[in-house]
Amino acid sequence: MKKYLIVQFKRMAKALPLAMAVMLLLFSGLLAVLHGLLQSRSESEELKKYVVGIVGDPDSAYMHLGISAISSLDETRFSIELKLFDDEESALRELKAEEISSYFVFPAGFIEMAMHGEILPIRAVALQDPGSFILLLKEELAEVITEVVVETQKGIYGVSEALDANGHHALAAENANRLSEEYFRMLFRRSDLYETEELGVADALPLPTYYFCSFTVFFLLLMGLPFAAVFVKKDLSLQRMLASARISPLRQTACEYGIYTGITAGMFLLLFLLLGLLKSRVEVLSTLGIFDLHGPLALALLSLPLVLLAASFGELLFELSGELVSGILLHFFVTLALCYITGCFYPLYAFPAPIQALAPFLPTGAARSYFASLLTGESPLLPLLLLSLYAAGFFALTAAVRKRKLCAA
Amino acid sequence: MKIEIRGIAKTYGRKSVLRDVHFTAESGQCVGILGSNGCGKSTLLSILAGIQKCDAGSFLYEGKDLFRYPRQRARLVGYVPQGTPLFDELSAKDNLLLWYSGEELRKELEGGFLAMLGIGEFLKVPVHKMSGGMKKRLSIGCAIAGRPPILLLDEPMAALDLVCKQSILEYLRAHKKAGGILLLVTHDLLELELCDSWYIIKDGVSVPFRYDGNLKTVVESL
Repeated sequence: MKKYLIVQFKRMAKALPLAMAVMLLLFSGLLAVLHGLLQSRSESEELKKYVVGIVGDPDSAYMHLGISAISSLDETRFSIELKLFDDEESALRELKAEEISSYFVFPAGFIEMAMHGEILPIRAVALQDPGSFILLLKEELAEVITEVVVETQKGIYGVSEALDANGHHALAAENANRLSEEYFRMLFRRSDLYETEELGVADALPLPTYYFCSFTVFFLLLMGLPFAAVFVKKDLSLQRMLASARISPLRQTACEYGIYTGITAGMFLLLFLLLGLLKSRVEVLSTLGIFDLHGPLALALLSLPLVLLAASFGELLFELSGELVSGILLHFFVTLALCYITGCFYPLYAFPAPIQALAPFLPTGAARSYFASLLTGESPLLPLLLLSLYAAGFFALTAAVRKRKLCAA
Repeated sequence: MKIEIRGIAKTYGRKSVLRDVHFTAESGQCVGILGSNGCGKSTLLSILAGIQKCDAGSFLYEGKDLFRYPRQRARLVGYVPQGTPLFDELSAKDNLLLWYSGEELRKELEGGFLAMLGIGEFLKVPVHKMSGGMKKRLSIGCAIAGRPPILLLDEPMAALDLVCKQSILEYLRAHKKAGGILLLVTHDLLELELCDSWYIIKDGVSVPFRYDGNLKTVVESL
């Protein structure tokens, strides 16, 4: 058996340069794609900053309320700096110099009139720009100001007037301010008004890291393709001769599996060490955060269950094939199909609920979940158990198929 | 040295391939096994080689049933199956090292049976670059590692030219002369002439047959 191990190692070593080249090519492509994804996300997610001028009576208590409301407008997406101007001329001057993005002119008595249900038009002035703050405010505030603010403000100041009429002057002012402030904060701080649920990025990972996990699993499974010629056997005469020499189908499979697993684990280790070395030089690697919890060596070692699954899965598919071309096609398309329905190419939320429920229990789903747990620190027990069962099952099936083929009439 | 094959039977599902196969052979003898395609000749050899188990029967060597002693069977029996039992991408030497130690290989190449088979001439050639005759000689060379006294050969000279056949025949004669036993599944006239006794597998049963050099007799018996 030792000699058989050595022979299998020699055979697989011949395919190793091709396998390494394929692996490096695939992962280079993956990192390039993820880099592009991250770039586009950072551009769209960058906090937009607006410097907005306010022309009005800055000493008005209600003006301060309004300023507070606008400045707290959806802090998750916008950063708004408000600048007060004494007159419109100075605001206009800074607008033309593009030192502010726009300015609003609140007419005298705006708040008092609003309390009585009459809205005096606020004049908004901005440079021609489709992404301007003016447009933003139009979208964000139009409905609120016209339909809600006045009515509720009536209620708030109605209470204030009642308190005032009953001699609670200080309390009246304090309550009015407090209620209005809370009210505006509630209306304009959008992050408090609704929950954002980032659907589809399962396993508690950001989208780019999710894709890194998914494609790592996909590429790991495809790593068997360069070794197809080693595994696919049309002529079983050698396997019969080995069986005659008491190297049974189970032992043969174990030797091939062991060498293939060792070689793949070695390639995986090299890959992670390389990524670890490049981490400081390649921005996308540090952004992905794949080495935040475990270093490259530890991550490679912890990924061994993935390698075991990929090896047994690949061996089984090749054992079922009788020819090289059909073996390669079978391997590729089965891998592709499994990876697709377990959310490797599209976030899982895009699939129907039954598929979402089933996916984590399929081999590729369990593999992805396990790898993701290594990056997030979540418990890997369930996916690890599934991986172990699948690896053992595929191995046993491979040996059984080999035995059946050798004993076939 | 004497072997006895007694009452070998094998069924695949409902299909009974072998029902009662029996024959004997002694040192220096070659037994020829004939039969039509699918009659169970290769199955018989694979059972005797220990690749699969039979439903009934025994394989006696000096009175000891080798089916019960697989380790001894593996040491005593060499098996050359149909096809090319070699790794295509490896050289002859690498293939031989699966069956021989370095020292054993050196000795056999210098003056043993491997030298007789002429394997030293193409030791470093990868299998996929070898001719059919070279591959078959190498296959036999692998099977005789450890010098098993009993050789099971399944159509060893199929698709070979006369020159190749001759070199293999020379080796097989030498093996007989050295006291070995050959069990030969064959359709080849040259191989039939090498044999000392012949059996036809017909309806799962071994039937003794006398080869008189007349092909027509053989065909009629099948």
